[in-house]
Amino acid sequence: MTDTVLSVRDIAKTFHVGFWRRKVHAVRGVSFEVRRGEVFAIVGPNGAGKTTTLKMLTGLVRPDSGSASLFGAPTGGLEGRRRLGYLPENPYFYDHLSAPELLRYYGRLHGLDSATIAERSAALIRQVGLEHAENRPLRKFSKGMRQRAGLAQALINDPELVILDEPQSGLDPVGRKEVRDLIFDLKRRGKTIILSSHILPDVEAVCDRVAVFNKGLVREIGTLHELTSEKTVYVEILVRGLDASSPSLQGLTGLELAEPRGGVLLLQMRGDVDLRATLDALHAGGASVESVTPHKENLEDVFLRDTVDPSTEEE
Amino acid sequence: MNTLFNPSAITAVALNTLREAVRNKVFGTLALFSVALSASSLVIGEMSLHQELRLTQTMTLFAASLFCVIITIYSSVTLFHTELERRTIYTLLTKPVRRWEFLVGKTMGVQLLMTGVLGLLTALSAALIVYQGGSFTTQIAAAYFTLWLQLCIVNAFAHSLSCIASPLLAGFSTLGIFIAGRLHDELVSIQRLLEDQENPASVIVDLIRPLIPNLASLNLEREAVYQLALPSSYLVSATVYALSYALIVLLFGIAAFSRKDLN
Repeated sequence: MTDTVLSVRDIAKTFHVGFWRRKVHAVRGVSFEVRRGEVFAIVGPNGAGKTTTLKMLTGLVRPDSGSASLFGAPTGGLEGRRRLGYLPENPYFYDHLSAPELLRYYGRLHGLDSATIAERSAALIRQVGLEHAENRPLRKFSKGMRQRAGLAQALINDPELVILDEPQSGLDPVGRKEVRDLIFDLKRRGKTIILSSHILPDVEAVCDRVAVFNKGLVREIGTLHELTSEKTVYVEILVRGLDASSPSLQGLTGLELAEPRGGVLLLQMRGDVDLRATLDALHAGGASVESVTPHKENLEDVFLRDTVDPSTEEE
Repeated sequence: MNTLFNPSAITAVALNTLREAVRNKVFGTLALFSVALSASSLVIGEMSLHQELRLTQTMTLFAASLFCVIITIYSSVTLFHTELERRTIYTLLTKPVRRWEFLVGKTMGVQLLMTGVLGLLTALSAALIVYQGGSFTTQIAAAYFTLWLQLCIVNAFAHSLSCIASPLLAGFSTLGIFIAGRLHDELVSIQRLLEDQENPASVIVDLIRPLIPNLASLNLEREAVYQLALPSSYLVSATVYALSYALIVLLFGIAAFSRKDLN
């Protein structure tokens, strides 16, 4: 059995939009692989090509060039779709159906028998927390509830690969945590997950590898450890007994920022400062240090590094 | 294992389409209007000069034609485009469902709906005719059956055009095709007239005429009202013609839809 679930080789897609058929290069030649059992995240700003890439992987959009294979067969084929669960971005479902009816419908499309559908449907409704709304039509669902229904439909066939496009969109912090837990649970059960999201701390919490997309290209790809450096980017020190204009701050080496925050003074220091000398200087100036927090590079830094255009940064 | 086609998927799409249409308020309103128009033939009949029965036969068949065509076009176009606009199609076509199975399922769902509506209007017409002292003849039954065949063609056009055009354009184009199809015999006369006048437009009429479904030949209103006998093989040939035509139109729709990017 191959260890690679999905293999993408140089796929590209150009759309022609508007009356004059203006070309929009949505994806410009993207390559990556997803291994069995991993959580693979795709991050990038709006218009980076994430959703178009996911649509090419599910067969909704045909690539202009390149190739992609799912479970060893070209993407879009029936066999691949049998083993796939997909949650699109901002999903919308049939207004006239209730959640159990929706799952029964999608179960039938998968060719599942009634007993299996009933069993999985009940378990999934419980898992995504929609038991209280079982008899309610989907048109009366909030955005978060629709998202949960969407997660349930993506799992009705007990898929090997789950593609989640912005699964936490519209969810409150509790809902986001539940989605995180669901992803952990799926990973524990050996599922492979491809996740596209803007919520970088959540991506950091759950993913094994990340691909950073920008302007239709993969800018970086790797584990979080590979993408981020170990060095401290900056240090935050919270002190009492000083204000931003205190003379003792004047001679402080590596000070980038000093601003009051909720009764204390926040000092942001360069990552390479001599911390002992800084703390000694603060004590000497009459400050009492509340906390010292070193900040290492995280996914947000990688995201900004790869996606912010230097030509527009100074504007 | 990949089978040639997935009947359970087609059935599921068809039944969901039917359920969606039945729970749609606009559909209910249109169906109610058609019943009201049919029933109003009793009142209008009272105002006629002893033509109550004939008026009931004509009006009920007219009401069925008018409202069934409107409901078919409305349901086909809106239910198809709702899938695209609300993006329910994204979750549907990422399941093991072929695109042609989806389109056939949608078409069958609307056809099931129309079978129900037409069945109801046929029963209402029969009740009104019997109430007027007449009988529900074979010709009247045949007229309702051939109306169902016309709806098959209209349904196929509405779905196929929806694959390539906006809802408004698809709806009006289908309506235009229905009207042109009902005036098929007049098109023949126009073409002959233009030919006699050596008008080059006759070539255009000659070219488009075979492409327009001959719905006039499937319209048995005259035969039903005047009790004219039908040739013995008529219903068989009408059925073969209508279903083949609808199938060919649907194949064009399938070809267009299978190449469509759902972005």
